[in-house]
Amino acid sequence: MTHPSAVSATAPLTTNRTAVSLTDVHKTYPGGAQPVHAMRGVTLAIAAGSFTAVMGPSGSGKSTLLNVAAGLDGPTSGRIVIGDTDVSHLSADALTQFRRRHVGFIFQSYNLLPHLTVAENLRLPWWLDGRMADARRESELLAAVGLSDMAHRLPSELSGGQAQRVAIARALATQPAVIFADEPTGALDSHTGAAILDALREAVTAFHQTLVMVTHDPQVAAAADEVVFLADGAVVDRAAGLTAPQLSQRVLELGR
Amino acid sequence: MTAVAAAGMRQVSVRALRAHWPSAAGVFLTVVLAAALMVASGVLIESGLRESDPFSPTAMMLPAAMGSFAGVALMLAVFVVSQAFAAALRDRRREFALLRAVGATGRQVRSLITTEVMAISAVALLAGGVAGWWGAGALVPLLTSSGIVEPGFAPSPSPWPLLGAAVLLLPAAWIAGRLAAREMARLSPTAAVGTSTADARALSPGRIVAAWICAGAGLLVTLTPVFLPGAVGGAAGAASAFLYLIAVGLAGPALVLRAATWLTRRRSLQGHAATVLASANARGFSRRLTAAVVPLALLVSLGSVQTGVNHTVAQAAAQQLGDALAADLVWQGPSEQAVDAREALAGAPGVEAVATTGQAMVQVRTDSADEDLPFLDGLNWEAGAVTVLEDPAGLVDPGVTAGDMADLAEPDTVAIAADGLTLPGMGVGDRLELRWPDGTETSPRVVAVYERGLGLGGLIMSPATASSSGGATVYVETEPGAADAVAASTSDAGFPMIPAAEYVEAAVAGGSDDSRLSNVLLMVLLAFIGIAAANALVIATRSRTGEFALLGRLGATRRQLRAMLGVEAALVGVGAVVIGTLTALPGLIAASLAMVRGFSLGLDPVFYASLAGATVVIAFLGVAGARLRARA
Repeated sequence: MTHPSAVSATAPLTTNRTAVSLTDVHKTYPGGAQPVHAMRGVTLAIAAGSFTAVMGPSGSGKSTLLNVAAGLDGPTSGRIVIGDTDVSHLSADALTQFRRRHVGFIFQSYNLLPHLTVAENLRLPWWLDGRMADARRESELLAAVGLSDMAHRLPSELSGGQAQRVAIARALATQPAVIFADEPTGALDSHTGAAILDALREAVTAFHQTLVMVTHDPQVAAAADEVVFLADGAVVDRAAGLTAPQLSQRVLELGR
Repeated sequence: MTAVAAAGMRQVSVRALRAHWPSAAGVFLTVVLAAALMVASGVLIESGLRESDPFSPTAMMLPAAMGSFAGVALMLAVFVVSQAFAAALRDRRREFALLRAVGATGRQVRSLITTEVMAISAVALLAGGVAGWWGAGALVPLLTSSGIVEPGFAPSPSPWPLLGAAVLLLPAAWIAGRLAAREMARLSPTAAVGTSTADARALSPGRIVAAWICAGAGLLVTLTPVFLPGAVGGAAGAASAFLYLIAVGLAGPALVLRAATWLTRRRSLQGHAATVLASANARGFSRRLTAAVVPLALLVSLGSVQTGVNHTVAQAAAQQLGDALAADLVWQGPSEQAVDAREALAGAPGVEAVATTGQAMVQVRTDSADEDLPFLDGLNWEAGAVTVLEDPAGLVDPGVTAGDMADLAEPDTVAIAADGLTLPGMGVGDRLELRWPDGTETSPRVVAVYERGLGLGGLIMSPATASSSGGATVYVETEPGAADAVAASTSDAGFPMIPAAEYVEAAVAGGSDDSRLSNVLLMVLLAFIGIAAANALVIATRSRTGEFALLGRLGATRRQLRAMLGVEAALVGVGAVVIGTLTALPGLIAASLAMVRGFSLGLDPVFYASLAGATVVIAFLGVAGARLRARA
């Protein structure tokens, strides 16, 4: 789709740097009779420029990990560093500002504003940041996800796959230090899902981005540089180079 | 923020308004109507105050007649406008949560909302100003026929009413937007990640505290008539109903939640998809349901309180007048014949004693002059009627609580009613400042305070101080059993008399001469609330198209969806009637206890039934426009 040569102004990141690190992070939801411990002392470092998959049975805390690491939700205790910034103690507004400049997020439910066009949804991070949208980067991104001719459509006029491509382009817009994706293909059929993942991986590679993705799909996880396994809110294993059937087996064992 | 980026955010606003135009239009209409109500009453009040002759009916009655209307209209307008904005914004929670997830700060969400709210309000205010000016003109024929303004009256053009409406409405809209925005900005961005659109469940502690404060203040106001009977008590009824309703609006979601949870546990209701869904919806969307119930409850509450308290006041006036009169027969005629009538009747056989009353118009200073705003001087004077009483035998007993009525024989003296609205804190020995139709100003000394003000009027003087004009009344006490004979003989002499009981009845009915006007004004208010409530319901139903589609996908038939909406509408309608009645009752009960002997709510059953009926009909109309698709 897009070649790295077409990409401008992208600072190459070396793989030996850490993009995100979590140190002894706890997250507890005070609820009803018993509080829910969604994260119990997670310590994790994600290398810059890498693709990390997060797997685990339902309720293992995958989404919580993602939300907390991305600064969408605050930790109960522990330290989170994105790039060089400790975000665990930022105020709500400071965290939001940091997040929109340095963190990209792709949600399962696309989360496009229904009344804004594709191009306007893409420009939103710049607008929110009080900056002019970068027209060149905008067309680059639209080309990268194959939506150049749909810039003026509304989300309701897009298929699920197309909507998710817009969300991917939006996550890449501000050249964030890291992109978090929470089952980005969960709402799509397998064929579209595979195409979206290809687009995501290509874009991430082309723009030298770091990607952390929660997924249920062993095929997807098999393509990752590293797979992190979660169970009961804690990291129980990390692996690299496993095949899809091996990953599948691993998750099944954790679920027991 | 650069100009380009600001333009970008403006585009987000404009797009949002275009996407949500039906609810934006609904809110716009509500603000237009609210502004029109305020401007119309403002225009009429100001025209009355500007009237050059302070003793013309326009100056005497217009500010007072419209003032009480304006007070209620004002509370209503502010309340309804804030409710409308809150409801319209609540339906866009997900959109704002999305913005938060994409990286909008709480501050940005707040400013987006505030800009939108203020833009809509400002335009609506101007449109409402035009509509209000037109409405004031449309009321003129009715005002003329009620004798409140002179024929040929035309409202005087002025920017003040519009400015007044702006000063009151814009901050109300701003605060409503801020409160809604506060809720949105507090949303965790993760709220947008999930697809749940149900209302947030817990109420903030501040909101619960505010609800208790409003309920407490309502109770205090309810008790006012006990300490301050009379017209003040009447005003308190409406105010207490408002405060209770605001408390219900604040605590509503929690109350709805409890009621719905209770409903869903009823065995008898289980098994019907429609009822199960409807009560589950009530539980999940308790805020949305509260927003639908409260304006409708306001309709019932205000309608009941206003008519009920008015009726109670009239009844109290009749009781007081009846209690005050020891006379058996009453003659009424022009004041020129009063002296002859008195002489003839006093000399008639069988007559024990006579007393004469007449009326004089006067203005009472209620506030010291304000040199900065000379045209507002009209506000410092209140029009009043003086009862000129010549009663050496004590046939009229005003119920003196301090001083002595006999001292009225001295010139330059006055007796005042204890519950006079305009003269709080006046007592025996104080002096009033009065202005008479011929331009003279006097300051008579208060020599007595009496309690039957509703029946006898707020001021009593003797002919030594004031001369009456217009109609005169002679009260006659006869020897026991001689009433019929006296009536027959004086009738032959040219002075026909009626029994005192008949006179009391007629006097009170005459007091409600302007009841047609107050009925029309009440109907205007009720229509305003009805439109606003229907509007809120339509907005709420429209925003649920996605929910209906989802239920359709899950296999709900159109019939089931209609039934579910029907059950919900019934819940809303009946809930509104119950809450409206409950919030009106304390004010009605207090007014009755404070003012009349015997217990009476003053509610006209037919009127109450039609209010309740209208409420239920509006609740059903609100869901009638739902767009249901069996397959989506």
